[in-house]
Amino acid sequence: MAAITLNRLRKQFGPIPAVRDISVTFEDGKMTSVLGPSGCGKTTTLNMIAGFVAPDSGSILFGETVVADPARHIAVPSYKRQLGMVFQSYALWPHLSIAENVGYGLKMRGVGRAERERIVRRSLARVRLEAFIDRFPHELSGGQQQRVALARAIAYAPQILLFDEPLSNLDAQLREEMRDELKALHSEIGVTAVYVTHDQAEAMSLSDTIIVMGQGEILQSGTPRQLYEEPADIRVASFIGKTNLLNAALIDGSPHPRVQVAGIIATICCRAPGYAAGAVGSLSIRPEGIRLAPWRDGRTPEGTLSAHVSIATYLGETCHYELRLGDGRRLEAHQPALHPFAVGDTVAIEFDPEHCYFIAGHETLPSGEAIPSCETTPRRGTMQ
Amino acid sequence: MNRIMAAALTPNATAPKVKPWLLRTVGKLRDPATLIITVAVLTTSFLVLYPVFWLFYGAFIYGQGGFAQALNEFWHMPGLARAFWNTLIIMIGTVPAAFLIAMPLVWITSRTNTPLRGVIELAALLPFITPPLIGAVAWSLLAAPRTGVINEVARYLGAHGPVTNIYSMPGLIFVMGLYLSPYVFLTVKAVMDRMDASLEEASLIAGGGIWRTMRHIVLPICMPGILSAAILVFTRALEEFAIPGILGTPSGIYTITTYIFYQAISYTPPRYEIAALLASFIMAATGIGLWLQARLLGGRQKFTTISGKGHPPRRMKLGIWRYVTLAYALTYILLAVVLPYAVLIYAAFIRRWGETPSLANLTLRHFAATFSPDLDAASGFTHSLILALGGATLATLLTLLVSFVIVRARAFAGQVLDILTSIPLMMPGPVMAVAMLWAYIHPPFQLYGTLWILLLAYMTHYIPYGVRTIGSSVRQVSVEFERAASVCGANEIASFRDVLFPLVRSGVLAGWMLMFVSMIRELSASIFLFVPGTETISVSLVERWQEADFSSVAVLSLTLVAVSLTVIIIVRRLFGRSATHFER
Repeated sequence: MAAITLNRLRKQFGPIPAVRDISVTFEDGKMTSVLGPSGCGKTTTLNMIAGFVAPDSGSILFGETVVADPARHIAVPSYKRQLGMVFQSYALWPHLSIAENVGYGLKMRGVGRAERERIVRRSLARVRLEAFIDRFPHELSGGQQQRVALARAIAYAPQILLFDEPLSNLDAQLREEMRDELKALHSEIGVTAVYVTHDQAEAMSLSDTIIVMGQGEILQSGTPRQLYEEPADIRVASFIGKTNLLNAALIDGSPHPRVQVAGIIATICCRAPGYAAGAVGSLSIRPEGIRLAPWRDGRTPEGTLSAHVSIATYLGETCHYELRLGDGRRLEAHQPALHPFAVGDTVAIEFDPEHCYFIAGHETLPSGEAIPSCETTPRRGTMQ
Repeated sequence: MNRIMAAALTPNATAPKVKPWLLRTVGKLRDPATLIITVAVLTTSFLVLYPVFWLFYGAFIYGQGGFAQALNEFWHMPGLARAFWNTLIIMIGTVPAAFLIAMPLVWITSRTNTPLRGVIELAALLPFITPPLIGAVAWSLLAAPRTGVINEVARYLGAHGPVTNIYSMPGLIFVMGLYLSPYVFLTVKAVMDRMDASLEEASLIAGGGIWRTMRHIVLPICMPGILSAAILVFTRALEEFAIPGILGTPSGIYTITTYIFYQAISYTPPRYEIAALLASFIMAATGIGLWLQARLLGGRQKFTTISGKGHPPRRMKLGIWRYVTLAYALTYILLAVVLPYAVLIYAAFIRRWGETPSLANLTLRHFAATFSPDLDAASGFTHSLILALGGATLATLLTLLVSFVIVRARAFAGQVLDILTSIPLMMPGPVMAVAMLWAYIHPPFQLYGTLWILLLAYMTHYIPYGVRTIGSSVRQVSVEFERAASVCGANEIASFRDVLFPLVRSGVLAGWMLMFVSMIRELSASIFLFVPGTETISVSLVERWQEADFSSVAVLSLTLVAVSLTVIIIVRRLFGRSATHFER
């Protein structure tokens, strides 16, 4: 077993740095996800670990062994790195049978025919595809092909398993099934695994640790819970789950932090670990942390924030609302769907302090930056 | 933990400090990928650039009086201006001829309900299989002013003097148009067939009649295809050697290519500088044509209306007129296929030229006579077979290597090879031959007079063909297939052997076949480069034709076509199916 260590790893394509001096360790025996929007450098990082792309500077270590270090002219080719890999396109060789596909790595390692067949059968049994041993890839469905690809990657018991968005070509239901299967398989064989994906649900359900990347940098790494509850960066906050981001200044620090949000008279209680009063930044409010109540003139306490419901989407279990504040800012709120509001209703808003999290820095969003899955993020400048 | 990994690391980590760059360079060559790239670049550069260098050297630098004197001599070459003029007339005449022949066939096969469309479509491509040389000799047997079959029949019927003369400018343009029409047919038909029917239907619904729809919708959409076909035919007409050689020379109609051969190379003493100058001119003109064509085809992507989706255009119901269109198509088949082959079969089997065919005066003795061991046709046949087998195989290996580097190594080497391998496209047979003469007459590579110079000429000439067919099949293989092999522990050689090669095998085979068939019939370079003793089958054919030995000409023509077809069929049977049994 071996941990993977990246030291100040850098790769540039033309003038654009794809990966900017990242340093991180993928723990031995754990499944670590690398999560980020397309173009964030996650695939380039994976390709450097696999040996398909040579880094410009920095180094990669498998355990104690250096496998890539341009400064010392070390570049171990992929075929000597003892890897298993599952590709986005499955990459099953169409001219070889399932048995030949799965057995190829063993053949390359000089394993004899009888032994090879035994291991191939065992690997295929692990993914419940023994019956297909003599078929060809094109005779299998997408999900089956992906399971064969998995069997091929684990057949020769590699030290490290790499996954390059392996489930993105499958339909939603199959994807969830495969996710559970993959998780069970990993806990059974316990190799160091790197799982690259842009799907946060996949990353959160599969891995012990998630590394969130953006613009070639590591934005944050931690457990799924840490990333969701204590995002270090507004990009993480908006990429992991949905959130509403409002420019805010911290008026009281610990133990009872409160922020003042521009344009809202009332202060909001929140979590802001480690920040002192006076810090400026953003307040991240999760949609489920916004509580709505009917607005009752005279009976609603003074100073309560009000909003109009502009879109209401009934989803059975919950109801999703788009709310408009008096100044036109939009908020997204998720509520249990017991007593749904209708479009046009005026509602009273309360924020749950547990779901409000203060992130220092980035008073406004960096210019020219697209934050995915975050429709409720106020546009730059609307706060002033 | 892992011995392989540790072993891989030690030599680099403990590299001695003496001249590290030298060790690194040598060390890199041991890496298969670097070795492949190095071999591909060096071999291709030599094959292509060495002759090109000598061609330009011969044209512009060589000679005692320098370039000025060569140019002066050039202006005073007898008949050269006439040859330029003839070439221009043929080029300008062939384009409408080819279009007049091909466009109705395109329309008939893709837009009408004419019967026998499948047969017509196949027949429209048949001139492709017939080499231009054989088409030309067949037409000279058919329509030569005195001996031609058509004139013999006319005389028998009471005509005075010849009714047709193929040894004339119109005759030349007619045969040229006939044999270049498949280029037009293929290019334009491809565009017509991919066109979404809804475009035409929208116009018809909007009230545009059939002709308005044709003019305002169909024609503009097909325009890039039409223009690129026109340029292709234009440059092909400039390059063509066999047709003007066979049909123009008897009446003194020289084109630039035949002028190079008869007036510069075969002249005593040979005027190699003039040949080099003329060859450079053709090269420049072809280069411009290719550039124009590439620009047009690049622009074709703008026509997004042509997609794989949509439904095929509806066919016009012609009613009784469909027999008129059928008659047109059958006339074409008669002229392009039936008559030429009929006259060749007649000449090959009739006892004496001019006899009325009957069972009694058929014979096989021409075959025995033509291939009798003491004549050069037999050895010519062997030479062609050796050259085509060897040349196609070597060129396939090289282009496979080159395609691999172009597609996979997206680095500088790939771009260099991409450019290098398209240079021979600008060098039609006669140009290639003149360049080869210059390159391989001089030391250090004195190969003139051997079969090697022919082999090198064939290989260099057909590199672009190989790169095109093999390269496109390499491009279709996703890089993930090779990466998957690599993580499984396969080094570059194993990955090539087990994954890439099996996946591109059918493409490689197609490339090999294309090159074999082109090489075995090659004339326009061979005729410049052969010496007595290194004849090829096509050279022997021209020699027999010059001796008016029509039966031998016919025997050689039929043999050539039969061998090409047999090889295609055998190769298809052996490997074709197994390589395409899986879908991707």
